[in-house]
Amino acid sequence: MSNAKNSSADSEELSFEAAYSRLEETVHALEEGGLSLAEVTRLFEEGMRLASLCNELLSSAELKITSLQTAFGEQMRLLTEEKEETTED
Amino acid sequence: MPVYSVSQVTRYLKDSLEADALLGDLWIRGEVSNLSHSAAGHYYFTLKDATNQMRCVMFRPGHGGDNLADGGAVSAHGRVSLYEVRGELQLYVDLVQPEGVGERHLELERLKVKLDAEGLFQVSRKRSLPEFPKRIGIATSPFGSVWHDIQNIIQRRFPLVELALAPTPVQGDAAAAGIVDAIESMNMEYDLDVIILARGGGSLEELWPFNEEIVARAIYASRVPVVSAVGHETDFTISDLVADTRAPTPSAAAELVVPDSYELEERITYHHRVLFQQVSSALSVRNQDLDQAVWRLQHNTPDITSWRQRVGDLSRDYWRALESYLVVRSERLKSLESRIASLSPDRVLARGYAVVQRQRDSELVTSVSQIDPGDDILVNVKDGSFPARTLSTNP
Repeated sequence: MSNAKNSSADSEELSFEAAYSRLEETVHALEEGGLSLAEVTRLFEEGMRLASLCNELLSSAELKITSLQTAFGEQMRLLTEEKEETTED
Repeated sequence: MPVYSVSQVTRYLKDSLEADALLGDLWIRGEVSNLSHSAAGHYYFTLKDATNQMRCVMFRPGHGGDNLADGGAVSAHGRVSLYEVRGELQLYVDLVQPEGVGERHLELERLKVKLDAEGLFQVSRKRSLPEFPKRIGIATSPFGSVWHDIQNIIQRRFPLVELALAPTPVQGDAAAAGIVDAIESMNMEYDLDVIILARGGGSLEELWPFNEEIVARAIYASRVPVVSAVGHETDFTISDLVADTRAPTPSAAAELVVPDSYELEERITYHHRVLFQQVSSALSVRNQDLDQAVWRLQHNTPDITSWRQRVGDLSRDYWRALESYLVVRSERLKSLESRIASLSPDRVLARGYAVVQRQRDSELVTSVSQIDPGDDILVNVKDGSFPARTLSTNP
């Protein structure tokens, strides 16, 4: 049971890049041909799942913004703190 | 007081000149004369002003030799040293610019030549950008519109990423050191995929930090690929030349580092369609194969129904033939019977004929020649027989 949980979590944690390149591989493999019907069906199902995952990732994404520490950034921070302190006085 | 050899003195002079910081790296302005251009590609000339002159040589591959012409005014960059063989002081030129070019431009040209010679602009070491970056470092001012434009464009195109801002001033005296610090701190991050070094448009002076040697070297040393996006499309800085990719503007850089999600959606839709096509064609091929197999199976197995029919037909024909054969035969038999009956001697005897046999051997007598007078005969009639004797024969 825990295994099933893990595998579904894995597929949900797939990055866009990984899902997209896997989708391309899947389509490519189908285009190459020479597969058994069982494989064709399996690849088809996987491809459909990946395509909807990719679309979902694209549509639900929110840009993340962080700030790295630099000397300048630190100066700015100190300056704004000083300003706040002086306005409080 | 020691006495020196000429070589000792020229060596001493040369070492002294070359130890001087100013003489090792300077620009000299003057008028060109006595210009000659050797077959090997070296230039020999004299630079002079109103009263004095200096010997100059520019060895291949110096830069800006095209600017040299007798009587022309130029600024030449190089180092002053001693040509020991002749004991002559010379300017060893590496770059010539036409006179009238501003100090900044001269400096820019000199730095370009220097860094180019060191290989900082080599196309072969430029790295390609990742197709799907996850974390993008932005070195720019946190206050300008550039930072907002970059956020907006990436939010719109491909919001699956994280933007890590490394704040730095982008003009003024502190800018070059700030940019270097920002690039270095971004290289401390272990998972940045690409760096954008960005600044909006401005004058040559405002863009100057991006022409500084320390900035060029920081870009060159960056482990993470750098996109340089400084000023407008027409502005070229040394940062642009060293960076892995040059973007004409900061907005263009934002578009360059991430794919367009609309286009990606189209590609996904296309893949989606191909998946359908592939699976349905795989199914239809197999359907055709199956139909063909069934057809061949049907055409290669005996048709039992028709054979049964044919056997039925044949046996019916057989019985019919047999029947008619029997009928014919029995008819013929009947006629034979009646013919045989009509040929029976009894019937002849009944009509009053007699059958004569020779007595001695019971042979039927049908001719006079079989009988001699006196022979005993047996005469058979309808209801019996009687012996008789031949009196005579009449032929």
